[in-house]
Amino acid sequence: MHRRTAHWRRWFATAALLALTAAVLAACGGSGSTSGGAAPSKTKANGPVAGTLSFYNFLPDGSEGKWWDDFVASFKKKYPNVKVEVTKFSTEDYWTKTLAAFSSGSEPDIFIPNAGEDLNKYIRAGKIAALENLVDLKYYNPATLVPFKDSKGHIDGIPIYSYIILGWDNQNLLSKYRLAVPKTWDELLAACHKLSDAGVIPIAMGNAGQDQFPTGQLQDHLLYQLGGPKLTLNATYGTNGAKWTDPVFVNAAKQMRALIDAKCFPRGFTGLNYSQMSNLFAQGKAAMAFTGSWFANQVGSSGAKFKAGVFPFPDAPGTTHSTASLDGILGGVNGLAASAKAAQRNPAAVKAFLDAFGAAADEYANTNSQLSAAAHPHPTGSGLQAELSQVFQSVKEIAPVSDTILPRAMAGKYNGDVVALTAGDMTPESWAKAMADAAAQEKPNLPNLG
Amino acid sequence: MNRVLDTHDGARARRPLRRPRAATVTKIAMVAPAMTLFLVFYVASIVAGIVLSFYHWDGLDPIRFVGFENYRVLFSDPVFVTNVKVTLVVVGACLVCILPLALLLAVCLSGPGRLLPLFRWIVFVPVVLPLAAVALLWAEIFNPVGGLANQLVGKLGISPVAWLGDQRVTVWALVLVSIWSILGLHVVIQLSALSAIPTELKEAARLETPSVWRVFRHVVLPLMRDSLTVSAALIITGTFVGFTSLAFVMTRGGPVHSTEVLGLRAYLEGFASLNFGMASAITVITMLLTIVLVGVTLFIGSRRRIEY
Repeated sequence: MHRRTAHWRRWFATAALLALTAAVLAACGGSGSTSGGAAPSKTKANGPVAGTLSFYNFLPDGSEGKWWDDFVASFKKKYPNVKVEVTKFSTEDYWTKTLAAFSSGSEPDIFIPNAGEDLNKYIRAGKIAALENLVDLKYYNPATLVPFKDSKGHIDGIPIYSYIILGWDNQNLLSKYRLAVPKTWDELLAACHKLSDAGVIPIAMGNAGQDQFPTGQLQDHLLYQLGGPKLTLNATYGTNGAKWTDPVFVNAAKQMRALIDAKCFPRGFTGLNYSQMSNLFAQGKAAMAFTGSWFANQVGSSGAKFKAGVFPFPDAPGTTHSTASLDGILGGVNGLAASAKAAQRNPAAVKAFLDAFGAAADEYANTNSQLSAAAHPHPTGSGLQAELSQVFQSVKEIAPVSDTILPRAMAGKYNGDVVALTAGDMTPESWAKAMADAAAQEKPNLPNLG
Repeated sequence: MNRVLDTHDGARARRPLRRPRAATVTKIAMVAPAMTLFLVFYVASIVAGIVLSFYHWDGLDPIRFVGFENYRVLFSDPVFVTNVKVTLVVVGACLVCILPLALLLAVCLSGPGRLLPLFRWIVFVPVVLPLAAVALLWAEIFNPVGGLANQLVGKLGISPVAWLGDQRVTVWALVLVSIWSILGLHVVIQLSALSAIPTELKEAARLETPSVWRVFRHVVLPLMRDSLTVSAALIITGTFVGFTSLAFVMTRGGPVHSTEVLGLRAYLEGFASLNFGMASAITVITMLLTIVLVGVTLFIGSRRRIEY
């Protein structure tokens, strides 16, 4: 009996070992090649729409989340032979998990990138499909396609909405203190002094925690006014003769400090995150804010009990590119992109999905109070959306935000050091020098922008 | 070959064994599943991380060998020195605060009181709260505009503090949150150690002296050395991981790197800056630091062990 039991135990143990080893090897196995980048076949793009599409969505919440759920449901109804697998993420998880997916060769078929470095790194790796011959671009405002054009002239994404970054005002609060919406820099500083003396927060601002971008965007705004678009990118790469130690960077930092010294921002604002900062304005505790057009959705959904408006931020002293006159404004585009693998494997389904969005682009913007990327927008949303649309149509140039165009290491450094500047831990001069040192250190690792 | 066995009364017996090869195969097969998992998910990951630290890779472009360049850059980076200092300060502060506090609470919460189970539950609740809830809760407490913390300091006549925006204060605010969130676990560890001490030892000691403090110091505390050592080691390793997550969610290492511990720096280098080689170099250094700290802790804890 003992011998039979021992014999049986040996076989069982050996079988378990082999099964586990097989399972581990299968789990660790690769998921195919990572090559891609060839243009999708036009013939196959007009073929039957079937198969599976994977879609990474980082807009899963609120009205946008519901809109995407409804969109996917109606797409499945129209194309019952297509299975759409939607994976939803928070914003922070989205970037890291999308990168992990692309690195491992299991990239999503369709995802939502910012136009800029976040998409460009995948384009350089040959993993993004060129769309100009695949999807119907007639749906879109041609200006909104420009940020998706790569150095070879391919269109690598389609826009879902544009955004601009500008001033927001609480007209009730401004009227209460007999203030008009500031049109000049001096009016702005005077309004800040008057409001803060009265115990009212002049401009809602915060850059704590993960939300370091608000002051980074304000710094970008000042840089654009004083020196034009893409200054930070030029200084990082040393193109167009730009250097981080140029006076324009120090001057922009000085204007940022001037706003802080005029008590424009809440006391302790470096400890406020974006949500807390937004609530200050939405709850009527701040007379103004400086943030993007996406804020219209938040203002609307928060039930703000005051009349809100938008205004171009006044020009700082020394301005060469006026935002007050709408020579230009800070902004960008979010879009949809398709992986090269998906476009090769199933171009018909990719085309159907992206064209379905194109046909619904205006509806998306109206439902979510965003700036429409449609060729012929018809804003039907709140008064805020109409105002934003009017500004967007009037502006001559959209200057990209630094954290969408800079290489990732420099983008993080930029936003982080602007936080230090606003906290008083860096002077304008030391801030510019720190950025110059960072660019020099990163130089061997900077991607070739082609 | 027969093996000679000593029996209890010293008599020797000879018993034939199974063939050694078959026994060895059985033993290996029994531990193979667990060992395979350990080798693949722990050892292989560590080795891969060490190897990657000698390369530059952004996750997409071809990997490039750079030798010790990542380490050279790190050791000449003043921010890295700050990261190490912050890490040691945070670990030290958590050790110094949690161990005595957990011991004190365990002593207070031990015993047969009717409300004690409720208080034990209250102390343990923060341990099971998800990180997002903890971060959200304390972000509101530390809100510089109307948050509870500033309301309390206001009553003491102190000006509002930028708890998460002032580099002199933020690290201590996060240490407080860290202590609050893991204290309960160490109270439970010390409670179980306290309950394992035989009552008769304490009663015998009380016969020698009426002083409760002397009984605690000379009888109870020495017998809790093992549990305190375990707690200390868990605080060190837990702080390396837990504080990283907390700092990532609440401050992203700011302001001015004042809450940027090594683990967070590694994450930011890897996933924010797309520099996985540098991130691996930081994790290698973090691993060595952790081994040293835990090793010292275990060494100190193993000296002069007392058993009754």
